[in-house]
This record gives sequence, C-alpha cells and structure tokens, in this order.
Amino acid sequence: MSENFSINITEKSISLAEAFTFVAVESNGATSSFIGTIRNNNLGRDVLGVSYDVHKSLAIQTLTELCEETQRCSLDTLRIFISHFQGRLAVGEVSIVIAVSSPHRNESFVACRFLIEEIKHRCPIWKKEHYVDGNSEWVKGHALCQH
Amino acid sequence: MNKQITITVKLFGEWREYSQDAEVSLKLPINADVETLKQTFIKSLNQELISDNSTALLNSSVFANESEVLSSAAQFTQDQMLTIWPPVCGG
Repeated sequence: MSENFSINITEKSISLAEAFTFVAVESNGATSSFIGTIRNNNLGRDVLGVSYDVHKSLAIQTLTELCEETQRCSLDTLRIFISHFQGRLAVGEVSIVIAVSSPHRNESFVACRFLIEEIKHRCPIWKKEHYVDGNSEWVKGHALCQH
Repeated sequence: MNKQITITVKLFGEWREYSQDAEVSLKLPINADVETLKQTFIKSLNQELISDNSTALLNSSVFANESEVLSSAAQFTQDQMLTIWPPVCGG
C-alpha cells in the first residue's frame, strides 16, 4: 500500500487527531474530511445504536483500490486517511472518518465525496440498526455487480 | 458415482439471521455453477425463516472468494471457502 494512504478497520474509537496528523504534509494546503456518526432516528424510528459487520480483508482491499482510483485522478498528490468502525456503536459515536489533503481545495473536496459514496456502494460492510422499541433490523444496502 | 466437492459459505450481514452458525457447508457436484450454489445454499438454511424476502435477498447478493466477487459464470472444481454478501451499506 502507498505510504500516502492510511486505511484501517477498527473496533476502537476512531481518532480524528490521528486522521488530521496523517494527512498533514507541507506540500498540501487543503484538508477535507467526512465524519460519519450514529444518528438517533431512521425512517421514523428511534435508533439506539448500530452494529457494523465487516469482511475485514476485502474491505481493506476495496478501500485500497478506492484510494488508488482517487489518487490516479490527482497526480499522486493526495494524502488519504480512512478508518471504519467494526462492532456496535451508540448514538453520537463515530462510524467512519475520511480525511484527504491536497495541494488545493478542490481535489480534497472531490476526493472526500467520491470516497464516502463509493464506500457505501462497494465496500463489504453491513449495518444493523437497534431501535428504542427493542427490535433490530439490517439496513437495506446497495447490491454489488456480479459480472 | 459423481464426484462431489465441499463449498463452505461464510455468512455476512442479514444472512447471519438465517443460521445459528457463522458459516454453512454445502455438497455440490464438481463443476457446479453459481445458480446451483445459490439453490443449494438457500436449502441449507433454516427453512422456517425462508420467505419471498429471502429469495429477493439471494438475488441481490453475491458470492466472493478470498480476493474478489465471483462472476455469475463461475464454476466450482474443488473444495473452497466463499463468503456471501448481501447489498452493502458502509459509512
């Protein structure tokens, strides 16, 4: 993996400081980030928390491919940090942090948006919501292509 | 007698609800295709839980080996470990 990428699936709290420290380099003047947190509602139901199920090795492989795709569009100038949580989180806790630095602002904004959208569509991660009424349900996701 | 192979399928996401175990072990004829795998897989699950939703979930799921999602044209010639992925929703 490129030294410009930090990719991690973790069962520990994700450190924002670690993300911003990793992407900070003197050649890059812009940093953008996406921080996903557990909200207290979904589709009219009161949510207590979310459990994340992850195929760890292929999730890391997919995240690496996404970083490489992103980097190819930016002349190898990006520093990218991605960390996704595995396990159960309560409302307000952080499920994913993406941080990207680039020489100028547009590349980091675009890369950050691209990465979170592609993660939602391509990465082998699933989430189960736990509701205040005691029920739990797997969240409907995006079907992958089987060529 | 036709040769058989063993395909072990590890369950992820919603598929975990269909078995008390984290994986199911399937006997398939050698050179079986993905469609045969799917039909054998769903028969191996707790039938009390199978519904139209299960069929829809199966049709929107993919199988993967240790490095990639399998093509719908894949055939199985030897024992191996696979995973089944329902639609994904990270983030």
